[in-house]
Amino acid sequence: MSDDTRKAPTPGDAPRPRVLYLAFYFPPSRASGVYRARATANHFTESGWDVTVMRAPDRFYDEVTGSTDDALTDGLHPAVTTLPQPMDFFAWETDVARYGRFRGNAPALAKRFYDWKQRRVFPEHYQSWAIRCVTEGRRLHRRKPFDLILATGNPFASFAAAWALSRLTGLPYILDYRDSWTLDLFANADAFEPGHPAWKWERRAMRRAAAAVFVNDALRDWHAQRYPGTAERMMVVPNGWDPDCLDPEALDAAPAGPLSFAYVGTLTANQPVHRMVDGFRAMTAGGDHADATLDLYGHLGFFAHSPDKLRADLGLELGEEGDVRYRGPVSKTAIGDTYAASDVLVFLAGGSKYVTSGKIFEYMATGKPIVSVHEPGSAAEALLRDYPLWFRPGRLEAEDIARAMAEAGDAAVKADPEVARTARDYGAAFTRDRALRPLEERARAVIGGKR
Amino acid sequence: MNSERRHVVVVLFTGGPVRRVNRFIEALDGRDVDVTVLTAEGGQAWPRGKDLHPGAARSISIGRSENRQPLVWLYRAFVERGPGIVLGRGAERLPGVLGKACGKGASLHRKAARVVRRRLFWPVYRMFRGQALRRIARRRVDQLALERAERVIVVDDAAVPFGWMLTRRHPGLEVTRRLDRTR
Repeated sequence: MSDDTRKAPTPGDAPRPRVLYLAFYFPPSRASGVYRARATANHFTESGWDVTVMRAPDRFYDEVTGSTDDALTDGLHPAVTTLPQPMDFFAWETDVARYGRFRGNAPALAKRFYDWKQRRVFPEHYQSWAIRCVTEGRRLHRRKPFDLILATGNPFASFAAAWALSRLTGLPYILDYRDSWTLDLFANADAFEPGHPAWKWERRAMRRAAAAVFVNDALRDWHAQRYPGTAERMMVVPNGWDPDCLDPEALDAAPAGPLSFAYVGTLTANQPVHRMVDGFRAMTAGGDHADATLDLYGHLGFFAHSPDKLRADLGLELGEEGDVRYRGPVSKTAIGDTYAASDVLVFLAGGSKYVTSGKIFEYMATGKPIVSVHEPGSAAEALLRDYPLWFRPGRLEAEDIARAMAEAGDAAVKADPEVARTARDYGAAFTRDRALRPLEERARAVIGGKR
Repeated sequence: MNSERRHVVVVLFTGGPVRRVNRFIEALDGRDVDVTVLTAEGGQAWPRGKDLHPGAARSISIGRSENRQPLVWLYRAFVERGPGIVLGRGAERLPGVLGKACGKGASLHRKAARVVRRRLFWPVYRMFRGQALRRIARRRVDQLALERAERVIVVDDAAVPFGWMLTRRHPGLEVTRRLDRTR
């Protein structure tokens, strides 16, 4: 286990409150939830906390998700202590040489035992990681006590670990619902059948939590209705954009040459990618911004083997040539260049009113025209409503999308500096730091002025 | 078989993933890759009609050897085939009421044998099948030309003990669960 220790406390400093942060996805992972976790760790450290993060082992990021970005680690506050916790790779292991004696000789029994643990211990493949967090967290707490546990999900094994650690040590904990657990955001329905252990675990974790944090009002309301006993301890901490990765002032608003319509973010099968492409091609075929390109920046799916599957699912020829170009992933540190090269930003989002998509904050910070390509009613609409350069199609049909894209393109060509300034000022209000302030204040209230 | 060509060994002891394996074989066919498939075709977990890609791969089956194992042979002889044959012949040869009773008995026996297989034989045998097949497959290792193989793909759980044994005996050999068509 590596211990990336950074800063020794300065003699004479007041003792800093200590928080144990359980974040499975944490830099160098580049999974979508990492930015919130990284910003949380940084914000708490800068606010005077001693932050210890327990995250997944590097092997998980390298081999299972296959998605890392070392630039994200560079942006981590040097005083944050990161402790990768080992875990069982049963569900992902494909190298038979790495199987243990039990699994190698009795695979059927090993599978039955594994399934039993899923049913009886915790219903996620990440349970072994959570168990390690509990044992290691308890050991560290004995040596130097923590004041608070903060857990972010998914995976929600971190919530179970926070609950168990709280039972063992009496520490209060806060649950940060980056994602939802028992609500399927895309189908807008329960994610598990009645009687599934996830319901019991969520009820259990929620009951004992000092606070539960959600990314938008719709999610908070849904959970408040389901867990009324915890409703008063629930709060909303939206996502935001990271000023250390993006300098909006450095973005040139005036387009040079053919317009570039850009989508920046991870592409998944849950997004209306076909509608976006059809709408874009309908616009260019109709003579509006005929030489424009649609540039797609980002990873294809979240997992190492996702790209091929996603290409097959989408049925798209994604290359670097033509009117629709796949430009590949962009490091967080180079994101400013990507926005600078883009004239219109396409906000492509899957799901329902519960989905905000963290990317929208970055989009708004750029002050560039934004076209929505998602079902009406997305939680992001509440944020975009007051953004002066927001263009949305009435319906998710090619001709409506084409019209909205054409209008956004016109706005980009016009490049009114006043409007761009107003848009940028509006977006500037949604920094991560500002969003996280109430969480840090709540955390201080929870520990009751200790330290 | 040309020794210049790449060589992949696929181990498959149940019939379920046959279609997936056939797609894999088709993908590798024509890419200068020889595929040898070690199967349990005709054995205890291989339904009729599950045929491997004809011609594109060299197939070696241990299915009949599996059926000749003492416990499997005894189970099939005394629970499934034996009573079925006796009752079936009785229905054909005995006249009148006795013949009808044998026919009815044969029908009941078929149903009962299916239930016994599903509820009793299979849950127990499945736990040991991997080990049983490992012992049988070990005798066929020479036919797999492992010295030329760039990887061995273990498709189902029943093939894991054999694959795991190979990792211990041939430490440099890649034994994987992934049917990776891109390589």
